[in-house]
Amino acid sequence: MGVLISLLIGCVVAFAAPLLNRAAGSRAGVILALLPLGLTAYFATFVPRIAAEGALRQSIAWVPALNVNLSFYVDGLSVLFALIISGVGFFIVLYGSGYLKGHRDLGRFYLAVTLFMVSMLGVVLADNIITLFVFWELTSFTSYLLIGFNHEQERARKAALQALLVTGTGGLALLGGLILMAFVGGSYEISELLNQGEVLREHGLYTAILILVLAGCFTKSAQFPFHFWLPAAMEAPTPVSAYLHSATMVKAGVYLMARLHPALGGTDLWILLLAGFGAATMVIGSWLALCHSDLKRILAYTTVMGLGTLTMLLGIGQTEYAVVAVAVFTLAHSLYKGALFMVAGSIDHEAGTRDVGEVGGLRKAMPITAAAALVAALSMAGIVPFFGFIAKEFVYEAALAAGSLPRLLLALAILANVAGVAAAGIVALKPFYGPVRTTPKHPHEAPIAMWAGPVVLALLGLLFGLAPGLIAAPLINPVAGAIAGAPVSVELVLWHGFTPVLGMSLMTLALGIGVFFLWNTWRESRFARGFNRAFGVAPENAYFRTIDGMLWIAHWQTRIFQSGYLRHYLTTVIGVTAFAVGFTLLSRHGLVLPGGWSAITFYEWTLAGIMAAGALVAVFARSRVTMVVAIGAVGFSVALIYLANSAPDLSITQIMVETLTVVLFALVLIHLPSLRPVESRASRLRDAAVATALGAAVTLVMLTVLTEPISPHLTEYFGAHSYVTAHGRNIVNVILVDFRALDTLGEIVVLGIAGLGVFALVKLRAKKRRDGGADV
Amino acid sequence: MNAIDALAILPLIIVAAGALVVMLVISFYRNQTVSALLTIITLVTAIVSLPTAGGVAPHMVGSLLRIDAFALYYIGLILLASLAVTVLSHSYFEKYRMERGEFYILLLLSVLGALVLPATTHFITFFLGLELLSVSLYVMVGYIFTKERALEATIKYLFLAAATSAFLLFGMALIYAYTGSMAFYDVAVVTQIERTPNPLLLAGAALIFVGAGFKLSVVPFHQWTPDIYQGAPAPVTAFLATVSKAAVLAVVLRFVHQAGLLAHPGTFTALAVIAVASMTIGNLLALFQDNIKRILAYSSIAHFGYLFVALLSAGELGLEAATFYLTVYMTAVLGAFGVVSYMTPADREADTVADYRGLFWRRPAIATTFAIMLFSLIGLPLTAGFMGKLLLVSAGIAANQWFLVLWLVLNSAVGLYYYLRIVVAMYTRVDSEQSDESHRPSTPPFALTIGAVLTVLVLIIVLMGVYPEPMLEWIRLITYRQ
Repeated sequence: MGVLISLLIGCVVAFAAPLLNRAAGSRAGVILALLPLGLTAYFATFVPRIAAEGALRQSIAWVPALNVNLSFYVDGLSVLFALIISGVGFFIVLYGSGYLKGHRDLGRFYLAVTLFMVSMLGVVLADNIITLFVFWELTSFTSYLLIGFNHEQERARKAALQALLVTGTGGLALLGGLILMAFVGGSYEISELLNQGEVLREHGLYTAILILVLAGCFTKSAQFPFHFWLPAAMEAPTPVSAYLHSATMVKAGVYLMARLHPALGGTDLWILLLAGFGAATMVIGSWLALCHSDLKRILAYTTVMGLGTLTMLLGIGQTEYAVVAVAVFTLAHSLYKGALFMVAGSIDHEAGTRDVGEVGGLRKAMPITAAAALVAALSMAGIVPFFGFIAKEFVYEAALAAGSLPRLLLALAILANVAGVAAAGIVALKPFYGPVRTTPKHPHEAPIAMWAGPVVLALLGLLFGLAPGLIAAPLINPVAGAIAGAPVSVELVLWHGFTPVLGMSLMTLALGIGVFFLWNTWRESRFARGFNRAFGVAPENAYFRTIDGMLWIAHWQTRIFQSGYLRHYLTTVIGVTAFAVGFTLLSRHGLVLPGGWSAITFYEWTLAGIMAAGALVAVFARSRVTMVVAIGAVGFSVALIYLANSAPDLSITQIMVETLTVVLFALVLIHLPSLRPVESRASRLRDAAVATALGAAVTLVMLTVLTEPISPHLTEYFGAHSYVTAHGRNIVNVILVDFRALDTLGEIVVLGIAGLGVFALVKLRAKKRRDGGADV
Repeated sequence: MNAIDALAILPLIIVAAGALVVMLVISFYRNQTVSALLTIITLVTAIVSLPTAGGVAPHMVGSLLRIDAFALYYIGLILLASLAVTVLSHSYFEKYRMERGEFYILLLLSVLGALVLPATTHFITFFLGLELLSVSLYVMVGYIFTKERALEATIKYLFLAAATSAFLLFGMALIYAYTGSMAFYDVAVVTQIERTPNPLLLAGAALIFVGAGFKLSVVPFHQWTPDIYQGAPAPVTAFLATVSKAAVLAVVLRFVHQAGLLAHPGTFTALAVIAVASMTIGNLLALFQDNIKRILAYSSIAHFGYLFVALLSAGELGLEAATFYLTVYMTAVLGAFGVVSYMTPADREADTVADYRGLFWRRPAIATTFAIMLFSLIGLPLTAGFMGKLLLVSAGIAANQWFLVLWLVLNSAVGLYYYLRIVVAMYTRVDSEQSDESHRPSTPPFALTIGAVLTVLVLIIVLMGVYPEPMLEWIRLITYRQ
């Protein structure tokens, strides 16, 4: 219950936030920040409980019919993420209150960001897959509102829509995968599916499940080639980027992969996909970061790198090093990246630009921010004694211990981290050191609300680095255990001694510093531009081309199928009908000619000939009168055939109808414009084809009726009863006047009423004309 | 007909009587509000009479109608939707200076036709219901005959409906010739006895499906949809999109399930092809549109493709999914067209995306309503649409229709794009200085009646999205008893 109540409180607070903002003014941020603070404290209480008792589960039925329960699963992994989400959330709300101070839509920011926090907590805590999906989509939706916060700007709106479309489409694939998984594993609860690992991995649908789930995770966690939305989403206000795009939302995919690792992980396909895409994302992201000079873009690409690293680690997965590395790196990354994003925002806010080339020497004006940036960057660069150092050591150890291609993975990890070191230097040193530059705004130190976050997060990075034992047993081990699916116990120490990995760390650092100094040369180089085009711009262009392509197909299809002409619509309907009927009969029955040709009399042959000739004349005639006459000939011949088969009443009806039709035609003809021949040969051919198809289909029906046994029920009934009960020899007549007498009466009444109606209309028209009224 | 028969079809009798009353009153006193009020009274009385009819259910009226829980549920649904349409029509037609009272006679007659269909167990009632529904609609579509688009729409609808009705009738005749009966039940007996169905029976079923498919506007009988949706007055479009389609879907569900046609692989394949084609083509066509009525028209094609997935997932879960999804869909579409009719000024229809730009900042309540309806149509979580889609997916998976389910999910992604475009437009602030006066979208004054209807619809969408359990229980009871 507790988890659900905490989330509900979050929701209520979220919707109260705009009102609070109006009422409390500038203090609203501080008051609102109490919510994430309280949540952090609440989730912190779970840490000792889980270490002592293991995972907890809470469940309330929601829609039992669909196996949807509001169930929550709290173990090490979810608590780590919950703590990051609420802890960073606390600083973000504070930071936002400073960053967006006086903004007219600040209330809306509070609403969306709090709602986002609640949904994100829901994602990492949910046990039921549908509940998880609901929260997952809510994060996409609230992130849409947050990225598009500056909705006056076209770019912000576009970026927001792009992020939503990419993650939303992935989310739907995820839903498919999750439901498949539930179907195969026999449960909608993740905690139960985790025990079904073998069943899932050996099922024929495993590949489908894995690919669909990964499609959701990869898009959400910005893995190559879906990484493009993340840098584009930098249009968001910086508190949003710091929160969503470093610490929380983009890690949702990583979270889910880690969560499902015991159920789906360990297969060749898993290793191939995760390690492959993860490593590629890691390298591409890290070097793309160096192709830009916008602080936020640099940070965004290094985030892509971090996410790639995590995915790669999960791909390696099977070793203790890998799972611990995931836990340690997740925490370390959230701490330093959150801090650096907020620093970048502060620079933007105070100096009016966030282009590295335009700022410099800010440390005098912004000493506290500069210090926080330095500490965070040292952690990011992986320098002793910061937490980032431990994280990097573990990444290298994990790569070395990988089951397949360890050398390659290690080389790629070093390659990526070299760029990471350089990027850390660029973000933390360039703006603050060197000569002072004039910036669009005169820089001041940011208000406390804006430096508190970076300072605390950066210091935490230092604290955990100096005393990793603080979190090892209570937090990291349960997380690693949850990912591995078995208890893990690792001692975190800062100093491993002089190991090969330490050597690699030193090499990374040296190379990174080298790259840092060569950065400007690299950024201007043709190789860097080509690299950016190939891996940064091209995937985004592919996205635009997909959208354009879909629109083009839509346009083409609209033009072809939705011409707006009734005759085209009718052609489709008739064509499809003829095909459906013709195909059914030909495939089921075939073309069977009935017997009894000799019974056909000379008269009937003649009449059939007249009808055929009439139809042909009607088709080829050049004047309407000829057509009407020809069609009339067909109709009258039909009437004569009825007569020849002793059905005089039917015959009379037919003759009357025909006469009426011809008269009506004649009346209308006067008002019609002169007949123009059908435009082109092509349309003539098409019309002929459609007409022939329908004619053939109807002929086929007639042939089938004649050769298939039809129900004898009616014939027998009327045959037996006509003479005996109704005293009539002509069955058709008997049906009309006796068996269906009421129907006939009804028909007569209908005819009568219709006649009255016509009379009324004629009278009305005459009266109007007499009165000189024009309106009918 | 005995007394129990009369009790069973009491809602139908009330609506028929209501149509007559409205007609008589109009001949003495012409006032749109009076006619609308009488219509509302009729519909409410019919709704109130439902428990009475339910008291004798299940009951066969001859071999023509079967009043059971399934029929009564759909009858209730149709009556409620018609009630909403009546309210929308009233405020919509207030803007026109023309004879408006007669509209409600047509509306009631059309409703009567629609009411017959869910209870239909016989070809005769099938055809009569369908024609009663359609013939009034021809006039309703072109009711504002001063608009060229409306006239064009009505002519198109008339011709296509006549052609497809002819096919339908021909199909019934073929089945009759073969089985000697027009009752669904007898057809079922024949299909159950014969392992390979007779070609005449299949050809007949195909022809009947042309008629039904036209009304449901599934591919390839879908082409009329956008033109008629756009041309007709917004409340009539809402009627077409909800009442007309629900009624026909109900009879198709009953016929397909009762006549056991799905057991035959050929029929199954044909319907599956229609489902896939409808989903794909409907969604693709909607992508390119800037006209909201056309977007809703094309997307309705896709939505009926989704519904066919449920139809093809035979069994109670499929029936349940179809019924729930249809209910949800009708609610959202009524809401969407409600907003469109509300926003429409007299001179033209407010139906382009541009008309809704920045609406969120001018009319937050209306814009939020519209957004919720669109979210439900997308199937976003916490709206009823999500639960509906979940149910469809579950039904499909339970019936092992992997491909169809996958296609449905993929297509939902396309839907995301075009529905969201409208939401994005509403959320985009228009700079009042930039847009010149003539292009400034109009914002009509608040109308109490329409506001009430929209509020109810929003409540339904949210309630069924957040807590659908009671509704699902109810629907399960209905489909189980059927």
